[in-house]
Amino acid sequence: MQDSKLFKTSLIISVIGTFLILLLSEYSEVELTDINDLGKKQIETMVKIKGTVISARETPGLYILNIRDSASTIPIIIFKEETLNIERGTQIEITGKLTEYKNELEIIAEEIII
Amino acid sequence: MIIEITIAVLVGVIGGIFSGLTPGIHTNLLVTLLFSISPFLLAFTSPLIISALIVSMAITHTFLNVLPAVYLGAPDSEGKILSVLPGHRMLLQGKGYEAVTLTVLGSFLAIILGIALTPLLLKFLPALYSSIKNYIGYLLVIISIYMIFRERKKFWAFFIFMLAGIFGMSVLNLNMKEPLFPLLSSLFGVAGLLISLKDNVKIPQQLITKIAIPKMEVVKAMSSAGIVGTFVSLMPGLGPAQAAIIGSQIIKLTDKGFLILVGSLETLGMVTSFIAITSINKARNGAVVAISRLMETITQKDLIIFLIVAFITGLIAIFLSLKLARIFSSLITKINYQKLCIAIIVLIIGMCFWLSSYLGIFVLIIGSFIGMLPSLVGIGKNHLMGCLLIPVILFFLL
Repeated sequence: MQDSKLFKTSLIISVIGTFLILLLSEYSEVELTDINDLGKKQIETMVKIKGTVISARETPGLYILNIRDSASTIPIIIFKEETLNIERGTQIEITGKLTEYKNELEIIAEEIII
Repeated sequence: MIIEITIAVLVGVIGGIFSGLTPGIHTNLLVTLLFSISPFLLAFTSPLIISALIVSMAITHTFLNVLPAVYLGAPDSEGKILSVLPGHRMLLQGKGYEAVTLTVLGSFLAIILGIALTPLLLKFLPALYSSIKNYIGYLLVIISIYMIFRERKKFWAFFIFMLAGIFGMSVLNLNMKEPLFPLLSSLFGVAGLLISLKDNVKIPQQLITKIAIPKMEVVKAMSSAGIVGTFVSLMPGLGPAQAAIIGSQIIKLTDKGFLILVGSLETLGMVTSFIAITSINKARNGAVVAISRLMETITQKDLIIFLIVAFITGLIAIFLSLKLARIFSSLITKINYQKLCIAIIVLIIGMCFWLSSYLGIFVLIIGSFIGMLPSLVGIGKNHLMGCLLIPVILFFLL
């Protein structure tokens, strides 16, 4: 294939493809879930939960919160980019990736709404 | 403990060989895997030993990944010499071994530089970080604009930077497993291999001779690495390619000096990330995130152990890289380069499907076309880093 033809083909596929992926990302909004309903099937996918902070601690580089909703609790991992001032009892909504560590589910936070 | 650390270093080196030599595999992927089995490993050893393993794996990766970068994905240089990376340019002149030697020399010197700078960084990094932390987003915008304006074809540089940015942001927002694998392996892996296939590249006989180290270039490259590397370690989203371009603008370098600088910046970035987690509590890569989870607290004594591990790993990795570069140099002209490229593309597609399923394959296809655009237009591939830079810029500015 000639360079100019390949360039035009690549350009068209790149623009249309990016637009399609943008649309897909817009329409794949994560739905709010009860912590109790989170299972191993959802590991490595994005989930959204809402609850109350029942404990918070720090490691170098991370904040680790425990969040409780009506029935269960789950640890939340937050990378330190900004100082996070969250006290026990704060209502919080977290969107992030569900992972497993030491046989327990946890969420790596990507979006936090206080 | 010395025996345990030695075993950790050796296992880490094996992991680093695998991730460094396989195009598209990032250390983060292996670190995630290792982290997921760490509860099992912790029954036999301590968090410090697993962390030492991670340090060794990450450092080995920064040495070994130069081999696929130099030997694979080389375009036909005729008529577009400026957009060809120095490593590929030397490979097409039969000097692939020399390109690897210079890059790993930079990597090894970066470990020594990182260790030498540790007391200074521990003291001044917090002040430096607090003075720039509110401006990180703006600084990244300025660096991106600078990268675009230094290109002859500014419109295309801007267009590709923005397209890669929208693509990266959309992919990271998809509810998909391991989104970084199809994102990065398409833009920076498959695309280059497809260009090689299109150009029907013939790799010339490779020379394996004693390399004359350009001492002045080493001094210039390492001075540049010391200045830029420290700054870049504070800036998320910037990779060694952008850092090397900034560095080579501060101090003018030849192709050889540029290769030393690229090698040094990648390894220095890793070494300074261990210092950054101790001094400013910021995890700048997956390896450090995992260490931070495992260790809970990282003391200066732990940091010293990590730096010793990095140094020993560097000694092993430089020997391994040069040995493998000799093997690659003699094999690359004997095997069918086109078939090799196809085999690696098939491997990446297989891994992509395994990790990210059908959606990952779709991203891989689109990303591969975007990744070919810089070579087809004749601009630097560094603009593709918009895929990470734009999401990071938006994170800091919004």
